[in-house]
Amino acid sequence: MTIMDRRKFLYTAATGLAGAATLTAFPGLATAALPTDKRLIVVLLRGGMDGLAAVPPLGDKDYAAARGKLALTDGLPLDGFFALHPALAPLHALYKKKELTVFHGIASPYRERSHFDGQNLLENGTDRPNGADSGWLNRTLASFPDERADRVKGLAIGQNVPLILYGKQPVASWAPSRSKMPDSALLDQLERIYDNDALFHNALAQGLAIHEIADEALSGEQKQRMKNINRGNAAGVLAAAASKLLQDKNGARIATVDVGGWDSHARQGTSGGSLANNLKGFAQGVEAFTKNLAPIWDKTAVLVVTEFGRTVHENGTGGTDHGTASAAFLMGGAVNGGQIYADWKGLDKNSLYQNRDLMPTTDMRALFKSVLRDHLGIPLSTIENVIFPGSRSAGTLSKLIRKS
Amino acid sequence: MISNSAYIAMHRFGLGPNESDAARIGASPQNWLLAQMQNFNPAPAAFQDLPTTAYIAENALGKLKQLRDAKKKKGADPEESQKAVKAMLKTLVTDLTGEITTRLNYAATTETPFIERLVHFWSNHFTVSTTRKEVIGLVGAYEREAIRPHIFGKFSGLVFAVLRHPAMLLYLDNVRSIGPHSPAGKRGKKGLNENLARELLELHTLGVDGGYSQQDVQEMAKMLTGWTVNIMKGLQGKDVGAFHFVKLMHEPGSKTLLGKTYPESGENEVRQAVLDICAHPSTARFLARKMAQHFISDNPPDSAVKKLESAYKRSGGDLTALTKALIALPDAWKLPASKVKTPHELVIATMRGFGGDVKLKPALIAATLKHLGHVPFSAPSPAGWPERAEHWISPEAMIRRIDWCRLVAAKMQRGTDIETLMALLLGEAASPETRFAITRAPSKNDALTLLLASPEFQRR
Repeated sequence: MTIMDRRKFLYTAATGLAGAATLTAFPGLATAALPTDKRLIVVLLRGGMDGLAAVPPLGDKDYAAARGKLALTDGLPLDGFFALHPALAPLHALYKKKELTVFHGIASPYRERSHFDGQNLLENGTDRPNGADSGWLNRTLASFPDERADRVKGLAIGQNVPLILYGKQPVASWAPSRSKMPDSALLDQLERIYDNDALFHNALAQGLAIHEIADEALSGEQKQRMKNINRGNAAGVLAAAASKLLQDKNGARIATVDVGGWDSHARQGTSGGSLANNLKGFAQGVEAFTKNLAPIWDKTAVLVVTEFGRTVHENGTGGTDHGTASAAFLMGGAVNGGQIYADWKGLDKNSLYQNRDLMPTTDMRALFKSVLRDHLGIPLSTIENVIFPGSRSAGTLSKLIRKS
Repeated sequence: MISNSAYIAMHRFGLGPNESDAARIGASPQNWLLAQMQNFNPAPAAFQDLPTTAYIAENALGKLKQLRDAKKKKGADPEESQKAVKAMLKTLVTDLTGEITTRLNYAATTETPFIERLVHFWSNHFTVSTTRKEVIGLVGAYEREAIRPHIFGKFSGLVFAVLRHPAMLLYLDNVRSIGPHSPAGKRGKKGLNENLARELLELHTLGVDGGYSQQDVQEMAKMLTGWTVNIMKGLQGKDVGAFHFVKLMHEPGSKTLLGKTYPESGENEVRQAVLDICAHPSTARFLARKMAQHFISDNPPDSAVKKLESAYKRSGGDLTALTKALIALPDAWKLPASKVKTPHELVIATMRGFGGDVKLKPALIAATLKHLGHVPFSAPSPAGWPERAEHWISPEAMIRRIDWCRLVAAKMQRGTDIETLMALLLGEAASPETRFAITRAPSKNDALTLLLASPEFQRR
């Protein structure tokens, strides 16, 4: 079939279904049902979130002394021992509804202190910074059975695809756009000149496909708001639009969200200050997601993780340096929440990792593996052989996901 | 019609062709690059009106400090003080916009584009980002004063200039790092901050696998104590905002870095350590790979990296020797172009292609850079902007790139002869598909869009 023939063919096939003529110049839009209706969203808090600030162990006898001026005196109570930072009220509400589980003392296998290596390892799913050049979420997509290779099942919310979602499986990235898509004549020619450039060709195909879905999914009012995305309220609108993409019956099943700015080396503050502001912004995003994902919330699990924690003690400049274990969250209607997973070793000097960091006691891969197995229904053998190779010793956790 | 080697020289080593490049390049593109090095001007006239570090220190940082101090004084009107602080910050942002526009326009018109690419490369290597508000006023002066004059000297000289610049000291938190056993440390509760020491070893010199330990990071941090900027309480002086070594903050005693013990020598310890770190084989390997990755491909051949590595070692870390070795690499002169131009490079190349003018207002160009996720001086982390193609070509990014091409095409179609422009921008490197699509496009607008969106123009 020549390019023009194929185009005519796709035109005919598409106009009756979605009226999406322009986008069918490229593969990417599927019409058959996807193999799972579960949704998994992974939120990456980049920069090393201070778990002891987000989830302060107020009941630990050494907490106040160890943290010094950074110690919180008050928080939203969880189990009498741990609390949530006051800025995390929307998460507290989820906890009370048993839709949030909190993990503490959790860490990837990484034990050094480079952000970039720490993030690489967290995202590639191995125990080495350069252990794989694809991300574990991409390998998860590849493990869905009976899948068309060109289907858009993964979505990076934001302009770029992070390593965790990057790999052989096609994925989309989406962020609000203010311009109209190119017309079909130009798309034809673009397809021609990208014919020998797989990276460009696939990126454009996926980009067009996802915009088509977003365009159909969003209301006029939301589109109007997206045009003003730079004028504030970005978290809410982004969440609203992204939620629509996740709700589409042919849309993404796995999505990622990047939230930067957690590298609190100086003046991080306590209940107020720069870290508190970050937590508040994050909590607003969570609130927007829960609201906008309401129709599929029961099928949704949201994982919130960071590459490493921070030092227990305040550094010389009112902040904290790169540490090891931190806290993580698992939330959603599909989550068996209201729990705290922490094998807590305490904060006295002898219980710390290298005398400075919160001791890692839970391997983050155990959390990831369990969510993939119990939420997405992926066989453990696939998980341990392909998605998280060499992770058998990390084990799994039980009862994280509600029995549906 | 430009030859393939001229295409490579102008796109890969330069910032995209313009008529002036094409006229000058002659038979030996390598000589065109070497001549630019010979005529290197560390202080181009285009930048002469931009504020210096000393000026910003005195008139921005100093005043900002005064305003913030005044806010805390008894009887101060908090609202008025807050307004004054905000106005000051606004001025700094305006200055930054001017700086970025000047830099962009210079890159779009300079007759030494290879020099400019090297400045951008090293500036990114030693990233200072406006994601930290404190450095908004300083980033431009930092590049002009700490990076640009040092790109052809010893690498250690570049490192040293960077470490002494207030922008880097502020960005990576060294200004308030205090030796625990120093007089200041004993008096107060403040102490060590490892941030600058860690990034110096990991990102600037040895590389993450360079063979240093956490202990080394801490020892380096101790050496760097006292390296600060004169904005701290009790340090008001004439040179407010500028580099300042404060002995009272410096950790006393000898320090051991990478197995070598450095006796206590105050400010001089860092100089000694930097010389040793820069002479370390890990640094040679790390820089060689990074340069090959930037100029050849995301996965450069090991043999090319080895050649750069040995040029660095042989010359004792001389950046002129390293740069010349890069030009001499056969691998650097091969097609196809595999590197993807970053959005910033793409915008510059587009502007150059039209003689520095794309008939778009600076504000719209700035908005485009933001839309494409690549505003100068705002890298997401101290690691700087990523090199790899996949980072810059995602589905959304691809659509936005094409948007940029359409925008420019709409503005520039009149008076542009497509065949002539294609010969200048792509020359022999244009693939038959690209040539065919452009010449057969149904409108001039589409033809120009396709030329700018072609892989041969988007890559280098």
